[in-house]
Amino acid sequence: MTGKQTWAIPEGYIPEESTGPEPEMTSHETICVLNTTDEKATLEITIYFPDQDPVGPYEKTVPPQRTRHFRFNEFDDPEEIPTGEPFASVLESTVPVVCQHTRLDSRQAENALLSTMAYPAASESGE
Amino acid sequence: MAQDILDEDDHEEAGWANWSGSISCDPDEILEPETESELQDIVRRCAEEGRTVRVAGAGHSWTPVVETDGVIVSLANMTGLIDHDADAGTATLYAGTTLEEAGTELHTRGLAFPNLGDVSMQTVAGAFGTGTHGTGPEFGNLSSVLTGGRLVTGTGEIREFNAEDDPDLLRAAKVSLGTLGIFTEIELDLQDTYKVQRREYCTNWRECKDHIPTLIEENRNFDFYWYPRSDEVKLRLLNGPGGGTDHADLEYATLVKNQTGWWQEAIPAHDDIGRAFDEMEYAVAREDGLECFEKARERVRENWRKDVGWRMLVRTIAADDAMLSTEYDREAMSISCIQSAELEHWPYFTDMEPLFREYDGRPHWGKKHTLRAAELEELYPEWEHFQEIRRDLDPEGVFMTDYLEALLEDGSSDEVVTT
Repeated sequence: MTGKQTWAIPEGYIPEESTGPEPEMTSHETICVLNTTDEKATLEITIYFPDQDPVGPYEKTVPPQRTRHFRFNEFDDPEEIPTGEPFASVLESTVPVVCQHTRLDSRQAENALLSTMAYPAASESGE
Repeated sequence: MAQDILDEDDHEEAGWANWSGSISCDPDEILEPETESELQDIVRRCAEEGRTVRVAGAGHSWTPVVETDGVIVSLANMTGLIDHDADAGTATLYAGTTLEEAGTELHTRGLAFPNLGDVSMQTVAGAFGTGTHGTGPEFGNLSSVLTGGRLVTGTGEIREFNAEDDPDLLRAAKVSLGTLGIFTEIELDLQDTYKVQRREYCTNWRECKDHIPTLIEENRNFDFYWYPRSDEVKLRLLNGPGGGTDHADLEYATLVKNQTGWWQEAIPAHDDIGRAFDEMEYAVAREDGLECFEKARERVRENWRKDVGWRMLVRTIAADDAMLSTEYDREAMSISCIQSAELEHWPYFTDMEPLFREYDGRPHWGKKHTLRAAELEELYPEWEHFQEIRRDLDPEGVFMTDYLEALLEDGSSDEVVTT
């Protein structure tokens, strides 16, 4: 098994504006989740804000030995995440997974793409 | 016994809320009569005491049509199939029957509604009364199948109605918000039960927009969702198995669902029921619909992407002759704005509403809007005829609340507070 069961992404921001054809070039924020185990990963993602109570959990699943990329832009249950405002997220999984965080910022035509590993906050270690 | 329930010393405080939680009230009582005569007694006593009676269905409306501090009547004990004639394609149901229950009862007897909406939790009478509809240019709203029935009037009397004896009453009753009386039995003109193939495709607006008119024409039931945050679109095509637009002609979209089942299971899409939302919907003339939607899409992208991620829904409905039908005398395209129940909806809805008004849109009676009688009477050529029938059946206004007075008698949108 590869990964941890709790991941944190303190940095989160969905740009309000986009440049270029949509949906391909829509400014977005993504959490990429790799599940190398033989079990389905059930994820609970909680969103934190600077000046309001956390929202969630947003429930997602990743099948065994698969990867899924979830755009925060499209989270809507229990509610949408506002664009143009800072937020942070914590992911808890039923099995060890690996998480990476990516943002496309196409507010300018010279697009910016950034990607960084999420922080593996769990004390459990995978093999 | 109903006569005991209404004794002054015996009022239970009972709360009522609609499905999304955006409408709630504390009526004196919520009563569940088991017979028509009990219901008559409740209405008579309320009329004598000057109290209001509102009938509640499943609470799937977003407007205060049920809200009262008087008495709410539920027909939860008046449900089921009364009789049917499979050869003639007719059936009579108790008015409190839900669409889901009706679907099961009718299907097992070889009968079917020609169409349904997206959900089937509503009571049949409630769905009819608010003008609930599905999609498809050949299909009117659900109340189009109503051919007659029985209702308890505002004086507690039973009034039978049908197309032969009183066609105007039938045309008024089809969409009447529970203001003519409380339905107890409803007679339906149905068809043989049938199977439906549901196909759903994902694409985006740029790729599919030019194909929408063809998809409307080629499919029994077609509608689409548009997603504000990504500009993506979900196309939903329902047809007899093997029918409708050929899969090869949908190369611009990805097939994500392909299921076949009986009508009562395949037409309603129940995946939203666990996710509360609030909704505004306007019906515009079908020929103006896509132009209106394009403008609505632009307005959402301009003003509401920050806060709104939930989709918009676009459907088509055939014209009918029900006096207060949003499809009265015109083929319609309905455009729905949907917002999570957890978030504010009025700022979004009130920004979108003037656009729909520019197209002479008629607001869905069960969904959020700010129009009142002064604006609504301009939209319905038989408005006053309906009100005459209503006043005749409910002379003391026992079914009327402040909201319904403003909606049907003398209100203006200038008086509406949406905060």
